[in-house]
Formats: sequence, C-alpha cells, structure tokens
Amino acid sequence: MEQFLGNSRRWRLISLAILLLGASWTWASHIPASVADGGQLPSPHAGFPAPDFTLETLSGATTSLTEQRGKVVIVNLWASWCGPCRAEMPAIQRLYDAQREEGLTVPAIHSTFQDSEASARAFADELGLSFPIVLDRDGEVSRRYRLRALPSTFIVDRKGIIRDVIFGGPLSEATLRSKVDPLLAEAP
Amino acid sequence: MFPVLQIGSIALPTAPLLLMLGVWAGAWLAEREAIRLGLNGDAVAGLVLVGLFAGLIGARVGYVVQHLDSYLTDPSGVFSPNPATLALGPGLLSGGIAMLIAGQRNKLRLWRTLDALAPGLAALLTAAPIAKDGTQHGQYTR
Repeated sequence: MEQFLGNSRRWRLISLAILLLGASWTWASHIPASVADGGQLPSPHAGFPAPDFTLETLSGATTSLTEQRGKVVIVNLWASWCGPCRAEMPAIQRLYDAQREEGLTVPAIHSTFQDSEASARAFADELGLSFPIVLDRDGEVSRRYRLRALPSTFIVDRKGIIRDVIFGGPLSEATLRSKVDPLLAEAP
Repeated sequence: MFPVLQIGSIALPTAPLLLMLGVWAGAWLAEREAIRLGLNGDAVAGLVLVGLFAGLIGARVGYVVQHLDSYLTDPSGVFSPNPATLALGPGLLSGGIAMLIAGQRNKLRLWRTLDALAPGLAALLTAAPIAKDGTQHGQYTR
C-alpha cells in the first residue's frame, strides 16, 4: 500500500480522479433553477413570492397584497408596545411621503392579536401615519410571514417577489431608501 | 430558519450569532495553528480581529458608496447597526488589505501565516453558509 501511494504519478492520478468524481457528483446533484427559485411558492424569504393577505384597515376598508402588484411594497409588521417599531415609523412615513408618487406603498401590519385596535389607532394618530394600517386580528398573516420579532420588514418588488427581509429595527431612512430606490427604478 | 431572540426591545437574530461563533472558532484555531508553526500566536489571532473590524468598516463604507444618494438624504443612517447594509466585496477587500498590512508590521511570514489561518478559515466557511441558510430557508410551520 505504501509503495502504491508512494508513487507520485499514481498519487496525482488518484487525486485527479477524486477531483473529477467530486465535480461530477456536484454537477449531477445540483438543484435545478426551477426548484431553487422556490417554484413560485409563496414564502417569507428573499427571492420568493410574498405570501398574500387580505385584511381590514384601521379606516374600515379592505386591502390585499395582490392589489399592490406593480408597486414596490414595504410590508412592516409592528405593535404599539414595540419600541423599535415606534422609532422607525417616522422614517417609513417620510419615505412614503417622498416616494408614494413613484409607486411605493406601505401596508403596515399591526399585530392586533397581541395588541389592541385602540392602541393601534392612538399610535397612528400620535405619529401622524398616513399609510394604510392593516389589522391582523387572528395572527394568521403573522404566521404566514413567520413572525419571530417585531418589527419585521419585507421589501417586495413590483412583481410581488420579496427582495429583502430585515428583522428588528429601528431602520433608518437611509437603510430603507437603499433597499427601495433600486426597486422603484425597475420597470413596472 | 433560526429563531430571533427578543430581549426587551432588542431583536437578536441567532444566525449572525452563529457567524460570530465561527469567527471566534476561526481565531482560536488560527492561534493554535500559528503556535504549532512557530509563529506568534497572539499576533496571528490579532490579525483575525484586525481583518474582522476592517472588513466590517469596509463593508459598510462600500454599501454607503453603492447607495450614496440614499445616505446623502439621511447621513446618520451610516451608523445604523443593521447588518442588512453591508457590502461583501468591499468588506473582504478591506479586511484582506488590513490583514496584509498588520501582518507585515508584525513581521509575520506571509505563507506560514496563511497556513496558520487556513484551518480557522475552514471553520468560518463552515459556519457562514449555515448562518446564511438560517435566514434564507426553512419551511413554514404552524
């Protein structure tokens, strides 16, 4: 055995064979692009279509994510008792005011199931929020988005694909702009 | 998908924590390997930290330069502690350059130092994809 492996030419050939075998195996077992891109199944991860929702807003209207197709959407999950949510809302409002005409929309999903509608209303009035506040009363949408921490922010492009997921906050206006502006520049 | 630890008002994603664990393991392995190769273990471990900090700063500066218009509107955003605003390429470049300079200053022999860093790099490269998978994949369960 020692003599067999001691032959450097033979050793190089074995190494080459292992390398080729490994490369072939890697190539043969690669995941096809159609599967790797999620096969268009909604999932709360970057590169996947955003899970849809239809919820009532604070004003009593009903809104859904599919209605926003063609726009860049910031899906922000929040609660009134969440400090970082409160801290980042003014930045989201400023961005909404500035980019609304360019096609930006912000359905801010209130975790009503772990807060109260009255608190959401008081919060929105206090901070002067003009974007739609939607109420997740039974927590179903939070489950679809696999909510683990508040705030959680999903940046969705004009085609309804999640392009960025940001857990926690507070997010600065610059951070949000850097994520949203390139998507607004994309063709509808 | 790894959980996010909610500690008061702080949301702590566990995936980056795993990455930090990888960095720590990498530094520890590099130090051990450096001593075995006859190098100054402290100097090599310090090199890892220099690379890490320079890499983080370079990654943020790179991201800001790439999105300059956004940061001109809100300059304070440069200091936002958000890991979502780091650019990989500039981070690797600045980290690498800083390590090269620090290595020369400490008179570390290049190839032997690279040998010492190799096992640590392997540990980091093992942790990084797991941490990335922790934020990118997973099944929705009730």
